Amino acid sequence: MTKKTTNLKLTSYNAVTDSGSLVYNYINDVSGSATGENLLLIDTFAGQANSSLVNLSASIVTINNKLIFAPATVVTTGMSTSAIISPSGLSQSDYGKRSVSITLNTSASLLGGEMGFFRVPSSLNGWILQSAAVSCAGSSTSGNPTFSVFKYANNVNPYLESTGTKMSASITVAAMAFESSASEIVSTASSIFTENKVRVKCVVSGSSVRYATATLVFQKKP
Amino acid sequence: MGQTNYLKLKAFSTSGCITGITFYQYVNAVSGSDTGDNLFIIDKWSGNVSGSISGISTSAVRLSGSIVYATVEQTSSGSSSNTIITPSSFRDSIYGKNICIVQLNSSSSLIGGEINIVEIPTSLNGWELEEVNAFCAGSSTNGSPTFIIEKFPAGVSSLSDSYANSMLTNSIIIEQGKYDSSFSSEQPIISERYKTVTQGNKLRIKNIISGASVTYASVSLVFIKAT
Repeated sequence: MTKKTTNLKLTSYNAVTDSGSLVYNYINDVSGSATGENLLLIDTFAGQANSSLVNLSASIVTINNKLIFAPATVVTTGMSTSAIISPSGLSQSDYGKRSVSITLNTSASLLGGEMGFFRVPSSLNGWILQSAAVSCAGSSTSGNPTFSVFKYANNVNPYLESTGTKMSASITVAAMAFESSASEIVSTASSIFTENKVRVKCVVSGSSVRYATATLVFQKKP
Repeated sequence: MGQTNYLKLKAFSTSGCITGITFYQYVNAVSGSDTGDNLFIIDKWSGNVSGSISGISTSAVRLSGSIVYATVEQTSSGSSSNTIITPSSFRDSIYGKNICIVQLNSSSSLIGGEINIVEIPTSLNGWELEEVNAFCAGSSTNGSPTFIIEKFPAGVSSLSDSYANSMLTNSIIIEQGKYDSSFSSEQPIISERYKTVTQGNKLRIKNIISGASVTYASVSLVFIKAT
């Protein structure tokens, strides 16, 4: 009595129990050309296995091609639904920035000398001041309000300019304007460290300037 | 004699094709040792399959090796351009933290009792207070300015002391003559019980000891998503 193999269901003969089988039947089962013969079953399996391997290989290539790291610009725009984010892509995108706003006055006009401070937390250790800008709600009717940005090392008096380091060129809001340009800061002194104090100070008041606010943008060094 | 579709194996039909085929020819076609017999073809095919599987396996290993998750340190430093940020590494990195700086006075010295209020937005619902610090630009000439942080439930009708839960078991102190609480001998301790904030909570930051001549005092609060 012939048996079928487990996987391909090939017909197998036992030399003892199937010794009475005809050679005709044996040849037919082993290498016949009708559906169900061993060779056809092997051939069908070969075709399926080959197709599976081709598809599997193509899938790996597809996956590999999908491992595309988004550059910082794409992370910023958020326009890709397939690229993946690396630490570098995140840190150099807009999502890697931290803004700090320091209000210097409210409804009373600037007199000059107004200050605001920002203590650098540990999470911004080693970051750089990337841009600084000042806006106001009441623009100057005379003169150009001007502001300075200084940083101070740990636990030194942050009032004194002699103990601080100037972080950028002065920021100026032109007369009759409501905001300065958000200039890029390119300075070796732009790095900040934990517990540093950053001070924004009005050095030229202009006239009738109200609600002056400095916005400092920090980012991890590339 | 017929032929299979894929491997082109030699097939024998008992309905006529087998007629005239000697057993010698049959055996030779099925299992002969030349390049065209069935066993040779099957063996060759199996070699190809093994080669393909080996190639795919190599590709899969290479692919697996290219999927490297960024550590918290890498995510914080931004130093890696070929590792993948996970939600976990993002949360624990500096980018997973939110910082709130609360100012209590400016050029007028603290007199004690100055407060400022922060309301917890939806985006910080369930987050935890992780770190606090205080800073002043004009240091105290007498006494150590001290600050507390109290949490009030959402929807309370007033910020009465009876609703307040202290988020610190040790207050924030800037020692006399210093500018930063991180230089104080006694450091603030965040309450395990009340460190979690929910949407609508009000946090009241309050100066309870003014010191003398303390200007530009502010308190920094750092929040992180709870695990």
